[in-house]
Amino acid sequence: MILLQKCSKLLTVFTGRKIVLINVNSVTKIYENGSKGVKDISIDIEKGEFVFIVGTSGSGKSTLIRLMLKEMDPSEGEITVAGRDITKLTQKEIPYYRRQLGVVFQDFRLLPNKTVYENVAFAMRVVERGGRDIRRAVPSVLAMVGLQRKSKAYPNQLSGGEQQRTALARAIVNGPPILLADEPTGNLDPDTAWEIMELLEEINLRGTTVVIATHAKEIVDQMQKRVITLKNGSLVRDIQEGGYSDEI
Amino acid sequence: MRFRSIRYYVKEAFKSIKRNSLMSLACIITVASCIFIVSLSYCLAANINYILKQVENELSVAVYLDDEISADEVTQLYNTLRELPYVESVEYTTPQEILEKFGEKMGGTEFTESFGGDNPMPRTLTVYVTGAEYTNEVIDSIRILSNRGIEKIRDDADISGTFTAINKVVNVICVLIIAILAVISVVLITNTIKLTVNSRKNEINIMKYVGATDWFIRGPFVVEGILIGLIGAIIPLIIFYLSYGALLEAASKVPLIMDLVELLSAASVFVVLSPVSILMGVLLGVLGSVTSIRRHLKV
Repeated sequence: MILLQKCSKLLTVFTGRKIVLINVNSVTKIYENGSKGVKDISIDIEKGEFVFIVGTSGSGKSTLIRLMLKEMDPSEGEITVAGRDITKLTQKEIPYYRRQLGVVFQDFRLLPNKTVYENVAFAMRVVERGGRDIRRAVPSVLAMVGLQRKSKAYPNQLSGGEQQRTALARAIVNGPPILLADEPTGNLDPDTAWEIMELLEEINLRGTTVVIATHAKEIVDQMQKRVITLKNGSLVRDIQEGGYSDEI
Repeated sequence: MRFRSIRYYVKEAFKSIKRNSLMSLACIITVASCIFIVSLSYCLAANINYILKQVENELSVAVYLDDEISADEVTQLYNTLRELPYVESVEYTTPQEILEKFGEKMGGTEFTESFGGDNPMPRTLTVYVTGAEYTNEVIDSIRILSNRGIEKIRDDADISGTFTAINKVVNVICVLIIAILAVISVVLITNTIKLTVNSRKNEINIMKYVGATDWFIRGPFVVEGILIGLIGAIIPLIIFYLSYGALLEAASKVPLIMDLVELLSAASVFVVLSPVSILMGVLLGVLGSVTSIRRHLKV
């Protein structure tokens, strides 16, 4: 898989062709109370990219993630994912669109009455995948996130890092081409946060486009990935390989 | 929809009923009471209709003949009456037969013998009408036809009118009761399932993010509603079947009631009542569950 990803990257380099997976075009979101979530934002995210969206609280990071999730619609502009304008999706089409996304939240959102295995399997079950598929995919994804020995544990028996690993496993078990993470390390200590970021990078290397909203300055600085900086809802900086801006 | 999804819905629905057992029980009791009263109303209305039909069939116009007309004239009148429109049949009864019939009801031969040789009963032509609504027309036709030899004409139109009025009132009351109870049931089921939905808000939320369709999310709640509705329908049906059977048996022991009217058999009541009750229970359940989950699907 990693080899394939590298080949795909090499091919892109040689041919110079870039595939835009997510296109945010002049998007503005005004909430019902009148406050602006994001203002006239335009971003292109290519297939296979690893992107940080940074900014202080209220800068519009989460709004952007929620717009990409189709949790709400922009007040103006459009968002195209894999060539499809998601603002025009019907209520019936939304679930099928979301199957292309993996989502990770700051608060993990695991089901407390289900084990690690069941939490991950749940994501497959609700999209009506068969028992054989589930029995094959779940152990392998749990091994990938390093939780194969904890598969029978309940969330309250896990550390924060392990809970987020479970959430990550759940997000990727259906093999989505895009992974959206909203402050995935917000509730974790620095060491654990690093482990999660390394896992996200590994997922990216396997071919998944990863978009992370975060304010974890140290990690962003050290990873030197593409960084999109938002301030008061506006895009103020977009650099291909950089750190967390000091200006924000 | 796949079989494994249905299996998942059923499993989740049972789990949920178990988790909110008290509220589910309250819900089942409400649906059961609703369906019991519906059954009662239906049974009452159906039996009144049935009795009305019996009365209608028995509805007749009695033409009492005076002593002056001869047997030939009676035969002639008999044939004429038979030809009248809306007349089903005509029956001739001698004074002796009338007295014997009356005597049977009043205490047997002693009563009959008390008259000695003197029979006060008139010869009677009983005209059966094809429908209660035509009684007056038939009477008018008889009056126009001839007054000769006819002492008096008696009809049961009043009885028929009373029965029709009672039936209408009972039907209206039944429909009202059913409507009110149906609303109460839906509200209660909605509240019960809302509790379940609230306790599983997190789960629904995750399902939405992972890409579960609205119908997949609704599935377990709909099945829960169906189960509550089904149990709520079957319990009153059993109770009602047993009590109706007991009522029929008790009625059969009172000869006066059975002579006057015949009640519908349990089989003929339940062949209608069972599917209607079960369907109603299931519909109430589904309606309650779909209403309560609607709000949570908009994520």
